[in-house]
Amino acid sequence: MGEKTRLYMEDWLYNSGLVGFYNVLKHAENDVVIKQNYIEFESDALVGFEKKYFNYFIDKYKDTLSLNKIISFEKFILHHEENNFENFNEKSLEFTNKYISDVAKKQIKSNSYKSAYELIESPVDILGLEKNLKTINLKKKQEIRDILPEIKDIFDLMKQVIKYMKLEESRKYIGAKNAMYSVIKNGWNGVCFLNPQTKEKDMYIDYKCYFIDPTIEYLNTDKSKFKYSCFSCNRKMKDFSNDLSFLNSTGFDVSRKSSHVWDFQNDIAVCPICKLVYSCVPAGISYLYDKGIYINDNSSMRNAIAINNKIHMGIYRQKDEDKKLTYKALVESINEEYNDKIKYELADIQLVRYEDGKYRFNILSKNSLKVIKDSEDDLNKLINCGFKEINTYFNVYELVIDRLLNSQNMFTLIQKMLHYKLSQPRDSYYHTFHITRILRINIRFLKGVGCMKGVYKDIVKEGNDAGEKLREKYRSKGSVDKLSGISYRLLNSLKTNNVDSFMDTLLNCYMYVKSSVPEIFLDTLKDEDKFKTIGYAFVAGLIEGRKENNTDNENGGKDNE
Amino acid sequence: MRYNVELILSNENIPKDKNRIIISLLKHIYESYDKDYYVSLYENEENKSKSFAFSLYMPNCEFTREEIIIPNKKIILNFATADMRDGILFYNAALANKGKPYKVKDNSITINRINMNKEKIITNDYAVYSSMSPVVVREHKGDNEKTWYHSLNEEKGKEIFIENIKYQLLDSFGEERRLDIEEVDFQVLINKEVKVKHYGIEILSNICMIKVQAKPYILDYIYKSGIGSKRNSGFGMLDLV
Ligand SMILES: [Zn+2]
Repeated sequence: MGEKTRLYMEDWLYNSGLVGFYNVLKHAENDVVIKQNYIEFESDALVGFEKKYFNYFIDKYKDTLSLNKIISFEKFILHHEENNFENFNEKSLEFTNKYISDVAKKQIKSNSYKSAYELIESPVDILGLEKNLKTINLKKKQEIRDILPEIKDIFDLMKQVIKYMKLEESRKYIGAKNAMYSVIKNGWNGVCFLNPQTKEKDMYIDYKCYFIDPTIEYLNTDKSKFKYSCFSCNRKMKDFSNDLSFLNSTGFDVSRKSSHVWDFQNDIAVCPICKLVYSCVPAGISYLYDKGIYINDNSSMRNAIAINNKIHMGIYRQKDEDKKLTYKALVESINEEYNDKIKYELADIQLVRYEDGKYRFNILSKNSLKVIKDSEDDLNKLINCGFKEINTYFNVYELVIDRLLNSQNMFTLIQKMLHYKLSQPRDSYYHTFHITRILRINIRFLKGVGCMKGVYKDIVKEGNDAGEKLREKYRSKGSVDKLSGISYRLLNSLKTNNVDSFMDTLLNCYMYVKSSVPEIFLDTLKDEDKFKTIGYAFVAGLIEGRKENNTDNENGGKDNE
Repeated sequence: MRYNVELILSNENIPKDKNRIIISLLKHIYESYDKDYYVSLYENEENKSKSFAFSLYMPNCEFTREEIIIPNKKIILNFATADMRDGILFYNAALANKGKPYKVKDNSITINRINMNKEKIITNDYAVYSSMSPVVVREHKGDNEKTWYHSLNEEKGKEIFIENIKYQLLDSFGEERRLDIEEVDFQVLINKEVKVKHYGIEILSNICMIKVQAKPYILDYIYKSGIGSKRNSGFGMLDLV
């Protein structure tokens, strides 16, 4: 004991484990040395590592754990008790009932909670309390004050439940259960405490026996006679007992492949230290529910730790629980962390996302980073914009970033948004001036990839103004109703990149109002990107006139009708 | 793009050299609307090939020795172009001059109405055209040599004509379309020779119906920009039959 061990940076997955391993120890206030491409820890740090491990998740994911959702109701109770239930109204009752049925009762009798109760030493019959917890209905002709005694009873019951949930042991075991199923499971599964058939009920002991004890034993063993070497760190090891199949969807599924490739298992066996590092992957990746983000900045260990911690903080700093945007945090962190570096020698950085049970990879190219940085203001205006497609809500901000990260232009997104604005305005939470912002972001993107050369004037504004003015002319002729049909036709021409049919429709419009065709349209004729940029800006102006544009504020589409 | 523009005259007689008057009107409206565009069309390169063609329709007109008499003082100017930019600028320039009399000789011309005509879509690999204004087949030899005008009734005229078409197409579409252009072929279905007074001289030209075999995009281009020489001076505008 007391010996120092170095862990060097490798591929992204291992690096995320290193960042996680560092995070766990740092959270426990252990000393870890960070060097250019490795971290160094003392063996003593492994003592009680299982507690440090769970503590990290329970603290860092505090707000999302269901245990804390149960406890958070205490504030509500105290508030009404202090005010003698004076402002307890039907809304408060509704909130209480929803909390009882959707949070309290649901969680208390769930299997993961039930298995935790066995580990908690307490005389309280928590399942008995749950049985008595009932929602309260206001009968006809009853007023809130008629049912206040019932409400107070339920609050008393809830206080007992919350008292139980606040026990140190509840935090330890229920918190650990929460962390296991809402966070850790995203990184690895099927072994140790996440093995449904595990014999050890106490996850702390299970983790210690499965990951830590073998590591300590390994560190204390003379390895000079070992014949094989670790897949990750190249340290000598005795056998191939540790494979990586417990990690989620990384392709290391030994059980399936070994039958075809007899020595496959040899190639990917790791030493116990590395296995422990891999168990820390979920502490390195930042998760929001079942989505995760990790930035593989392998320029240095320090950068890797800093950027990923920024992202984690960024995600949980966002106030609105329902609307948390994974990319928002990413973009803020990128802007903070790479602000100065973008101009210089920054190499492309790998972005790893965990979604739908799979890892997806993007390159944060110099161009994407620069566009994101230069578009800060435009992007911020898109945060509250979104639309519903079938029954799913899509956030425009996230869609735009997603496209930038995939190096895709915005035209199909803009086409869709304008189309929805016409066909389902009630499910389109944005104004058309948000679309002109996306067009501007798109121009930056296109310029970055070498298109749109020689565009110096504000073609978005000119195209948009032309649309607004034409709308005005239709309005003064009392023909504004005709514009949606025209807009559909124009959108179709833009979608199929048919300049002739676009111009044909356009000329007919201008003939109808007896006006000349604005010069800006002459710019559309030579270049597909200009055609689409000006064309979409024009349609945006045509769909929604000038007057509405004054409300270009932070609210995005919220005030949309 | 195809337009028809109604022109109103103040007197019922105009000189027989009518294209000259219309060219002067076109130059005037372009110059007053967009000087740069005017310069690019008429001043930068002499005889620069422009992509538009026009023709005139004068209902109930009567030709005398020196003049044309138009009893209802109305001329329809048909204008066609394959170039979107030229089409938009023509519309804008005409609109900007609408209602403003333009003095010529002892007469004046006022643009009254501008309409756009729907264009037909060509999907076959042949098309039959009829001339809306006479088609000119011109042979130009060397620098100071004489210029010859040919009839489409003669083999020599047909030879020069197809040479000119291919030259025009190569100029518009570029070398990369040479294979498509080489295989363009045509037949004269009907033809009548006419002499047209143009800037003081009589030009032999052809009022005809022709069939052309080519890729649809080439046929579309011919339909829109006209055929033969002096297209932008009131010759060679076509319609689909
Ligand atoms: Zn290793």
